[in-house]
Amino acid sequence: MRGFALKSVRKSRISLESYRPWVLPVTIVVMALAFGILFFLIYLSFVEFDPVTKAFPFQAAGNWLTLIGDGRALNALTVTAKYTIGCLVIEFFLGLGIALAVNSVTKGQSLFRSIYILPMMMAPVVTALIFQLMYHSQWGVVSYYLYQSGLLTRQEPLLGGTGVYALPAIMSVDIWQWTPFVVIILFAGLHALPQAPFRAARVDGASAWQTFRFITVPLLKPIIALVMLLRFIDLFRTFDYVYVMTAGGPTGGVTELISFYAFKVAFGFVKWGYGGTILLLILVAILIICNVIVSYAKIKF
Amino acid sequence: MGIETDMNSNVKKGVTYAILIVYSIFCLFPIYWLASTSLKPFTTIFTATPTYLFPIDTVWYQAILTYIPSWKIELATTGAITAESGGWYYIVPYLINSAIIATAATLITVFIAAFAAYGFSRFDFKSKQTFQFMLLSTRFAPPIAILLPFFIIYSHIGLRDTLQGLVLLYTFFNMSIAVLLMKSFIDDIPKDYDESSILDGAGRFQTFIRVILPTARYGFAATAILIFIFNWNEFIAALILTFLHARTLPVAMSTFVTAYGTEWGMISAAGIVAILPVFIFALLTQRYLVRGLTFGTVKG
Repeated sequence: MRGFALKSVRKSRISLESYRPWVLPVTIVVMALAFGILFFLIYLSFVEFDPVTKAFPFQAAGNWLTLIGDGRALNALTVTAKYTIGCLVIEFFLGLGIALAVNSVTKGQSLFRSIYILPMMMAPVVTALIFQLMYHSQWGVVSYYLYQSGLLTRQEPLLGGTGVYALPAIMSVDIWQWTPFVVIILFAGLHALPQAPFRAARVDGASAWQTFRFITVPLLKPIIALVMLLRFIDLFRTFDYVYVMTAGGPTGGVTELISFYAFKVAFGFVKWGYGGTILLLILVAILIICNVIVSYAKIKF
Repeated sequence: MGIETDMNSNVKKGVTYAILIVYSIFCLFPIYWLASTSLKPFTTIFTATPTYLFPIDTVWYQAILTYIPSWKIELATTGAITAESGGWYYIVPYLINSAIIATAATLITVFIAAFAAYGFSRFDFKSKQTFQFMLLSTRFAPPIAILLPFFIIYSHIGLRDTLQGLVLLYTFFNMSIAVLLMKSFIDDIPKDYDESSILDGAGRFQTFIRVILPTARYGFAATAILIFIFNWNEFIAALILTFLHARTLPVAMSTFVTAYGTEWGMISAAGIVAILPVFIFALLTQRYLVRGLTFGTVKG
């Protein structure tokens, strides 16, 4: 029936009965831009911008050799790895715990959910600014209570001093803003789980832990993988918090994430060629990692 | 036995609620602190001991929303605002820029994406998965990697520091998520709708306009709102591609932190102005939020 209907229409409206006019314009433009950017970065990685002559002299492998010997880039990658893994682990366990708690209560679910969506809706710049005030060494409310309880000294404040607390402080901002994201999505996942396996487990006398370990977790796995992928992408590109709160400091690049370092090279030192090299590296790295995660965890969009 | 389990479950319930309430306070406290700082008089912001009770003062909102000479602010606040800061904190031009850019980019994105979303939802073709995945890949890339080429090209063709330039970039940024999300909303509409419309003699395009658009309108509106929020909050692209003319609110706010002293009252007031519309939008569309944030994958 359907085939017949479509076929008879196809004669008169050939063009719109195919996917091409609907899908191709957008796909082609977006892909052309994406490949344009990729090739532009490849080009940049072999040249360097000269601000005086406005020319792009050829560098051969110069940028790549610089990158191999660049201790600051290595530091930035290390800091990014610490930041990403640390936040990912904390946000996952905290988020899962809260999601399970919200899922287990009967009253107030929608109120809690409304509260939890607020942090992630804030502009990251606003978040960074308010945390900068709360962590301020003189006027900060969080600093005040930490000083009072003796957990922090005035010589070694959260965002200043020698910078021992700077990276955890930035991480705490991300954890504040984005754990609710994990909560909201895992809660939606828990909410949508089929009830039959849980009834069966109850009949079989499974303990709460067994039910969680052998039913909830396996059923929730695809959503967990998706949430972790999305968090990973955002954590790896974190820029706003560092730009506003520490600018990579306070000392020796302790909070210099790779996005921020690349920004500094490209726009601070106006080294477009070398900046492009770093960006090409992280772009290719992130695309490979994401592709591996997507195919390994069988995430289907 | 029965009583014991009851007590156990009551204790468990109490603990669960306690955890959820503590976590709620954790989530709300910075927002509360932002709001309260924006209403505090100068002397209660710059104190070592936190103040919770204070006479409400709207001077910070006046300072950012009206163009008043700096000496008046200085008088009102007895603060450290010096003459050179006059007008620096006046956010209305940036607010207007942000509103124009976010709205224009959102409307263009959603308008274009709707057609592609229909195509991806209603037709089966060989390279569909590949196309969708390639679109999505643009979303994986760190924005800074996209921005360096854009910056160089925009400098050459004169799009730097223009509203159009940013609108164009934001349209590119959000196209993939808009297509996938709107596709998921069209997927929810049974294909029978299309078929009966076509049997009635309507063409594909007419079917799209008369059947799909009205049926998916809430989903499409939610998509638009979500993308508006992304555009409104966006920072790094606006920082790199704008200077003065097209500066957006988040970038303007980031310049309020200076080495000479930071006007926390005005920052907080501007912060509240920046998050208020977003909060309202988010609460209105929270039904679709999970789906939006997962590109249509999880239908919460």
